[in-house]
Amino acid sequence: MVPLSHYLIFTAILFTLGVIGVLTRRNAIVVFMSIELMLNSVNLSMVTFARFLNSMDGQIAVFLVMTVAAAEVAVGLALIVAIYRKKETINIDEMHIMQG
Amino acid sequence: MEVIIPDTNMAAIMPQIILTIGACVVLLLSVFAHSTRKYLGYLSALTCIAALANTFMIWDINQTVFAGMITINAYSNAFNMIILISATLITLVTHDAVDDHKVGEFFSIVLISTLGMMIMASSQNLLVIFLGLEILSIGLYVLIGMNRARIHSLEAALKYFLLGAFASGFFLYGISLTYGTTGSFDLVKISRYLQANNMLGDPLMLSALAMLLIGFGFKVALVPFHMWSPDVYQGAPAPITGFIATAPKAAAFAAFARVFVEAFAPLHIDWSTILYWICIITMITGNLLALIQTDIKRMLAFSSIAHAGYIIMAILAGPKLADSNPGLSANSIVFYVMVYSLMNLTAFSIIYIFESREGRNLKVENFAGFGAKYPMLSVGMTIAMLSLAGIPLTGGFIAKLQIFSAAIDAGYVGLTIVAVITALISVYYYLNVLVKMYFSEPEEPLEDVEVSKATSLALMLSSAGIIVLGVLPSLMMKLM
Repeated sequence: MVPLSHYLIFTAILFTLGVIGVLTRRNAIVVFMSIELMLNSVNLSMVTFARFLNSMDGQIAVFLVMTVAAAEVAVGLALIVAIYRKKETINIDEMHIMQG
Repeated sequence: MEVIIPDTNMAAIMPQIILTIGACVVLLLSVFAHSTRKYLGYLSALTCIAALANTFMIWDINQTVFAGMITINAYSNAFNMIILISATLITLVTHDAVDDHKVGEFFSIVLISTLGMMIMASSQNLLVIFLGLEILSIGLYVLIGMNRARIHSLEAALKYFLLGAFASGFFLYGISLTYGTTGSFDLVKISRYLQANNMLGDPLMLSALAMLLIGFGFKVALVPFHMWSPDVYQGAPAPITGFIATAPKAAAFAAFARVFVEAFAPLHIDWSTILYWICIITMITGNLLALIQTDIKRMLAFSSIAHAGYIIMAILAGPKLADSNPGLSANSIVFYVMVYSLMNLTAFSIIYIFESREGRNLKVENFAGFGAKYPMLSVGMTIAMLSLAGIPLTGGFIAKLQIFSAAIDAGYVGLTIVAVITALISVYYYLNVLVKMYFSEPEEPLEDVEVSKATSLALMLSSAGIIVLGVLPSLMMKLM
């Protein structure tokens, strides 16, 4: 059987890729995709722990996280569309009306 | 197969049920009964008041229901009370502020968001805390961006959304790692596991602590996770800013304290060092950056970052006081959050009244001459500012006093000295607003401003609350 540490390192790498994506990409949709990658790596780690701890909690948690992520997508994409209509760009570097 | 039916006690979650029903009724009425639209604000306020009354009715219940998902005790009820008071005042202030065709969505989202906060404040399961956090956040993303004609609100909403979702990712990873190490999402079981096994310095547990700290740090706006808050405070419509500044923070602090002070107390050595330094830079950065702000909402944003730093002091002190004076840390957090909510609600509601007249964001210098022209509103603003600065006879003074004495009891003398010095610095920028109001002449003559009855009632209640808590703090202490 593949040991626990392999899964954990894999999820940590996925999570880090997501974080790097959020920090370096400028397109709001790509940033958002990177956030989804972070959430999915967390899902994978929950399933892994559930398997190795022999408990169902982690698997149930994944359903909750997926539902919440879907709700977030609904609001997030609507916001991005509204911004695009107003500014004709979704580059997050252009979002600098407020400064202080 | 054996099926275990969990302990379902509907009476214990009655306030939450009332809010849910209220939110649905408000939404349906706005769709099917157009003539009721102008009363929906009052209806939402009534819903909040009913939930508040119910919270008082279940005050003495001390039990955990729904298989450990929800726990009802004086601590969670006190936070629910703060959240519901904020929601009531906000719905009263905004009852006539929303366009007619959006009024249903607006108030039902306010109620649902409040519901999320209450779930977050009264849960003892990490997953349910996460769920509550998301219910409140998704509602707030919509509320901030609801005014689609204003590019400021849209930008603020997008920033809050992206950073909020980013922080949720960290928070969730922390939950997952905690689950992996301790084998449970339940805070009581986690606490038991940590007491039985020495997990100090365990790498998985350390990363879990770091991730949870980032998640909470973002929600309560601690430096270095505070970048979103000035922009969001400035961009969002003022009453919504008042709401974001108070109720979600109360919920986040309730969960923060419950997770770190109760469940992670055995790991205090691990997390206290990092939180200690976060606390110090939060107090210093918040207060120093507030000094140089010209926009009043941005100034209050940095001030609330600084206030979050003060509350962290009590969280730091919590586990150290667990043997000598167990209630002190929790009580001082509740009291501080209560006073903090009232003074910020007062300030932001008054700013909102002036802003909606001017149609633009206010700078501190725009307050020139307000003292003579609008005496009542200025008195409210004065009370809020004096209390934020921590002047005696206001709630802000007693709140700071309690936090500082908790910190000193726990041996954090250096931290308290930094806190006192930064609190003195903060007096400058709060009093600056008062000086502008009373001792400066306006550049152009000021126009009259109309304040509706509901708004003035909300303002009177909240400013009276600040004074009452400052003069008779025992009223609040008795509840705990």
